[in-house]
Amino acid sequence: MKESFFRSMTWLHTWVGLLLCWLLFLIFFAGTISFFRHEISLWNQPAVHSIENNKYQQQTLIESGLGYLREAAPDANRWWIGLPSDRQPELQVSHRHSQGEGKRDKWIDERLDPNTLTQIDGLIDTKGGNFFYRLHFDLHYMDRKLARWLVCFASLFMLIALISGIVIHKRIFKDLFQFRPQKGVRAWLDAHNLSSVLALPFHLMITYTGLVTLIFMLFPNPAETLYDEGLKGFRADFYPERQRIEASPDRLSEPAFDKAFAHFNQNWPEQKIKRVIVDHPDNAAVSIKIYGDNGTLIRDEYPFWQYSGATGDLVKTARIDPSNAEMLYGGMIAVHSGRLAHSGLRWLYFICGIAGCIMIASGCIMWAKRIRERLKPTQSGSIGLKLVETLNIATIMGLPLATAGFFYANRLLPPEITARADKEVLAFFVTWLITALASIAFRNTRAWQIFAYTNALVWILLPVCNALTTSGNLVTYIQEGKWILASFDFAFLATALVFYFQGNKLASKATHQAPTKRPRTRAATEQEA
Amino acid sequence: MIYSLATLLCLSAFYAFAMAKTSHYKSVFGTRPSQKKSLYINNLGWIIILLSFVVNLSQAIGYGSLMFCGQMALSVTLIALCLTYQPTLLRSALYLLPMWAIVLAALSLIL
Repeated sequence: MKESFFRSMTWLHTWVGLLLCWLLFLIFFAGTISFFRHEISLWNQPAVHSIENNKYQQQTLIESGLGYLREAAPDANRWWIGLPSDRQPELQVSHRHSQGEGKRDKWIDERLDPNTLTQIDGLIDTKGGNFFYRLHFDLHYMDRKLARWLVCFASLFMLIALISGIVIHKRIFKDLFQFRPQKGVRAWLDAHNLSSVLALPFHLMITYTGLVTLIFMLFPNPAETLYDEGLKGFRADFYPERQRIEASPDRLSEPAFDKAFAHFNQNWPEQKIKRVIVDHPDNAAVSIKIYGDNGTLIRDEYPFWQYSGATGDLVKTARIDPSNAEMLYGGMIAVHSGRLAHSGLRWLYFICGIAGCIMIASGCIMWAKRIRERLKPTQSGSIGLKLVETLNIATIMGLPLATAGFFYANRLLPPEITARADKEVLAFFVTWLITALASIAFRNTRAWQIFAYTNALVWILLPVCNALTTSGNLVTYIQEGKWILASFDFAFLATALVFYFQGNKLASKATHQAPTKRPRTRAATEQEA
Repeated sequence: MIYSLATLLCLSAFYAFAMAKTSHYKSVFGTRPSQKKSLYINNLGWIIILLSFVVNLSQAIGYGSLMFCGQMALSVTLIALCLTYQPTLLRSALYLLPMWAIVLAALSLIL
């Protein structure tokens, strides 16, 4: 019984792990990068690099935002003011306009320097970190709903693989620090074990809470039984702030903003505000929505206050005093998204995410290596093996390259071209496609090595490209104490270094292969072929 | 400051866990530890990691435990990489880690 249990767990781990591992790698990779979502948005927008830390009180900023919007967009149906934070230095003022029957409303995003309260010049059209954030669960070029179901399936597979993995790799805790890079396939197993066990709490947490983020799509049944209107009714109850407010035909020239904010500041004087939304600013249905900042609390949705703009009275609030169930659900999403993290914890999250990528990558490489090892030197691999090898190299080497492509496109595309943000995304996918096509033809160690060196070259030139195309560089960032931008350059250089070492390692493997030591490794086999 | 102290404690704890294993001890110090010594180091590791956990939780229960998980990942990565590529580096850690811990503890008490 015990033996067969162990064997079935191994089978489960192998096949469940392998089936969706490339999708999982993409999800993990994009998710890990999205921990730095706002930082990437900042990097991608050189015009906001020079903004100093904001010195005004939040009430002043809100008032100047409202004042700006009153001038710039009196006829908008929604104003949106995002206050600056440590991660986003600019004051965001956006407005939404109706486009007539049947058409989607149009958003116009503007940004103000919080110190001069003037519009920032030279903004470019870019998706920034939001691209990776969306890629993480919406994938791309795909129906959103289908993509989310796929991502959920992948996470479920990941959860199964994790639990069966703990069962079959019994010695992971005993051999905690074991990593022997010179030992062939054994080294990959070590890397797989080490990367999974060192961040095991993170892996379990992120996979489980990942499923929880989409739980109402996966299990709509409780909401459908409890509410007359089903999920819609549940959403109205759970997210009162998302309820659509209908416009009124009566005009209103002087909304009671002052009264509303006076009430808010008197009753919640310590509350930090994240954003302010004004719906229908020009008519009698005007309402002011205030979203509080959660800071480092383990909560996801923001506390919320809604004031009537016509009278200045408090209409409704939400999540000011959340229930236990709300705390649990919100808490799980909060630890998943890591929005609460300061830079220290953010980097720890990032390290754990990278460990997850290594875990998945080493797992799929190991599968291919083991099969390859069993083959005789004259045998060529089956179609399945070739497919796995192609997908391995295409995802593991292709995604970092594509990410670099995205960053280059951001710096090198001329600012005036139309749909520039989409072209950046296109650069990402084109780079990835080229890598994938190349990996169909070349899958041996030499190909891995060439991709590693290409990656190293591309990443090491990225800070250079940044220095040439923007006004700052690593030295000025350090001098001016712009640590977020400096860490980008450091991260690019570190990535380049890692790929350079990988290339060197593969080079020594490809040239100094000792066929007497080990029966046959993939590199030796393919060199002769 | 407190969180850096907790990180350092966590690193020391995993250093102790690694040194409690004969093969790793040998690669760092060149000699085999006695069984009693291994057990002693291992227990010391448990005490320090508990201390690190408490220090983290003293700041904030939720945020602290997230930090603790992250610190464990960082510590294991650093120790494992050192053991693989530069095991002798860890020899000086025997003195450096407690010294840093004392300095940081003193600083966090003063500030």
